[in-house]
Amino acid sequence: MFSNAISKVSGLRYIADSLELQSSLGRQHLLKQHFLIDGKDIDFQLNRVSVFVDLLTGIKGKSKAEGTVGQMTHVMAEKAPCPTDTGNSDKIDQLRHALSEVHDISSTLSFLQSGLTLDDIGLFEVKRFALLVDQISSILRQLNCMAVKLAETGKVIDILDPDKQRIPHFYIYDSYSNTLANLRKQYDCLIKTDLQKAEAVRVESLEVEDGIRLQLSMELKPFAKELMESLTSIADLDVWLAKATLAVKMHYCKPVIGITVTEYRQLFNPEIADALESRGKTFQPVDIDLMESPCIVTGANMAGKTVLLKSVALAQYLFQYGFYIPALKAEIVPVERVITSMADDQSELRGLSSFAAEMLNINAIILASRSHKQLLGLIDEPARTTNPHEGLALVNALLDILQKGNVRSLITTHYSGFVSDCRRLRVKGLKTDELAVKPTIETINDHMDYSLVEVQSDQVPLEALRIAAILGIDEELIAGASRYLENKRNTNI
Amino acid sequence: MPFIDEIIKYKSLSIVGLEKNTGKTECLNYVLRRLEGSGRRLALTSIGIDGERIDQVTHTGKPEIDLYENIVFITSETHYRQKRLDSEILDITTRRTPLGRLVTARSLARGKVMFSGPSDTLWLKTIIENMAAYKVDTTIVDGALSRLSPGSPAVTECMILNTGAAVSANIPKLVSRTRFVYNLIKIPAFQSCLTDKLLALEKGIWAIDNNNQIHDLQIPSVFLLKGHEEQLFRFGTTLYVTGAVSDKMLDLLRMQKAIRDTVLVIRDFTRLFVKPETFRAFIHSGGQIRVLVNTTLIAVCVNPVSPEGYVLNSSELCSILAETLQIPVYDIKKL
Repeated sequence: MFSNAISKVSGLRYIADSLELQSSLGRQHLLKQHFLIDGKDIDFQLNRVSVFVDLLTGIKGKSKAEGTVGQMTHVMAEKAPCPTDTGNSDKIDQLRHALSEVHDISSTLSFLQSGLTLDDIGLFEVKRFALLVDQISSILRQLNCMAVKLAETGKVIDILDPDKQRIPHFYIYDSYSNTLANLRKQYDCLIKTDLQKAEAVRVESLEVEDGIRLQLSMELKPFAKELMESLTSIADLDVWLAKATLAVKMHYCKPVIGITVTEYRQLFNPEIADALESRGKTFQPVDIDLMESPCIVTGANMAGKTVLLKSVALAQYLFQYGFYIPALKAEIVPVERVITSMADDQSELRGLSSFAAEMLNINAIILASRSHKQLLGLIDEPARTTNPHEGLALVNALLDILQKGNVRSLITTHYSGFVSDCRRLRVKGLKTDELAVKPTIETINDHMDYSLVEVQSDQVPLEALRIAAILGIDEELIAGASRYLENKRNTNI
Repeated sequence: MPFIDEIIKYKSLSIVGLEKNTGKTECLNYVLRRLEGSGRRLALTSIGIDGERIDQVTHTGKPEIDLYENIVFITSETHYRQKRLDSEILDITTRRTPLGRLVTARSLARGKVMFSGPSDTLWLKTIIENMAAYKVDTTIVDGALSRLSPGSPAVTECMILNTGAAVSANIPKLVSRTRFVYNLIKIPAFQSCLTDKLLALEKGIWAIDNNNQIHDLQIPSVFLLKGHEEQLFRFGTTLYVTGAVSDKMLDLLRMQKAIRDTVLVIRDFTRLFVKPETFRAFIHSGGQIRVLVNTTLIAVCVNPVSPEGYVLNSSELCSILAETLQIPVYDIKKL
């Protein structure tokens, strides 16, 4: 469920917090959403969101990126267009306002459904809700939006609004019963003259009122199921509208359901991008393709390899919870599970060494690769915490298993000497042509090129010393390390 | 009754008792009776519920209020279900009090309602503001002056204070206690453009410097002042305390060199939990106290009968109080 994923997936809480949900109903609904595995379910959700994206941006008719499974390997999704003044904005505001007024009356409705009699507060809630459903339906009609099915509440309103005032107030109206109206009139006269008689009349009128409540509850019972369904539809509506609003505001794109290859163009990580922006910097989006096989990612330290894994994980989760994607274009293959092995696991808290924690994560990926057809494995520097000799052997074996199991996976590493012939990507790293301006610890990010290039060779970039120097690490250490490298090179020659 | 003419000048009124059984409910019922037929549209609510529990202990009767037609009232679900009058539900909150959600309704006939209301000051303030939507002219709050209550009636524009034999059977003592509360109510407002900003602060002690900048003194509560004394005046001598102010704090400030320049700002007068002596000594030494929210006391009502049945001389009590306080004083039983 989304509520579990939120605490597990880096960056997902940030997205959830950015959603402008109008009702607590919508909030609860979002938290209960399932990780969708079937491409058709994801497609349905995305198409619903796109209906609202179109309403927000003023594009009429069918979304251009209305992808159906199987035919869009090269038809990439459209980025959510910028909001223009669509003439819909008033209506959307009205819709948001109406949504914010909706209370969760599910307990009242199940009360009604089970045949119990509602009190005035319960009847008021049903009436208020029925009027809101009517109002929301009418706004949706004006927006020409058919994406949400709501109950026809006219009859419910008629039952609870005998005077046809159409305002969300309620009491047991005089017009429900002549007897009641007469008793109330009598009471009004008697209270000024004869308190005892007045009280007797009051008791009588309360009995009549109870009879009316029973009658009303019976009349309303057949509508309880429909109203309950509308409650769910309104929760859906709230979530779709919020997802669409976020997509338009933050320029996310509608992903296409992929079949074999997951492709991102200009993928970014919203939380990190916003943090950078607040410091006057920009996030460099990356392009990456993921086949049904492992892929090694190399690159210098500070080249953003971990951020890349986190962004790919986040995008996959967003996709399978029916969100637009923080990218220019995205085509994504649904997977049954996303499994990650990242350094920030709180292994110490579990009493494990970092090596043990990592091995357990990798073991989980291997086991899952045997039981699941579609898997996304994201492994950050496997075996980095043990000796390079055995470490390299472990990673080689891991690559063999992932290759054999056709596991869509990204493995970042600083090792070289892999046997496997899997794909290799390298983060470009420090821009060498800009050495006129010497990078510093503050500006090092500006001198990094985070884009990925496909490489054939097994050589990893040797930039650790350069980056350490930029970070201002003690010169004696760096000079010493350079000497050792020099000596080694000389002995090798 | 003259004070009715005063009331209609204000958008909100709270009726508070210095103790239980000082005639608050009678006073409220009286005000309602007098406003009937005035054409003023009224709303009625209460703060919290703690007063009523005491009533149930001493068995002095539930404070039911007599309403007439067309009064908007706000009470909890629990009490709404126990009402004895016809009324139309206008709204219901999602937020809950210990007695359930709050129901806003309009009375359609005469009858009695028991009151409970929002549990904190800010919520009460919002409710009073929202009454404009129902075209209410004056909102009346059945207020409690309790240190236990986070809600303060001081958010209303004006106030009637109830006192009487329940406070003390000794007239000089009764007068002295009433005068003290009266003096607290009279504490002037802090004249500043920062009022709303300060109201939004929820905890801690803050300093306001000469450039109207607000600084957190990083002292979590006045009870933890010990050991932080030297930090108090880092940003000048105007201090805002969000929570309660105790004898200890006033004494500590009084003994500092800067006391003549010290301005202590508090939320409202109910945040001062100090002995009259301490308060007097602080003011006498030159310290100033200011409130963010203040209210105008328009009258004092007395109930000369104590819950034990002791009856004070009403006219003597009224005249002494009126003379001491210089505002109108009425015997609630004679109204």
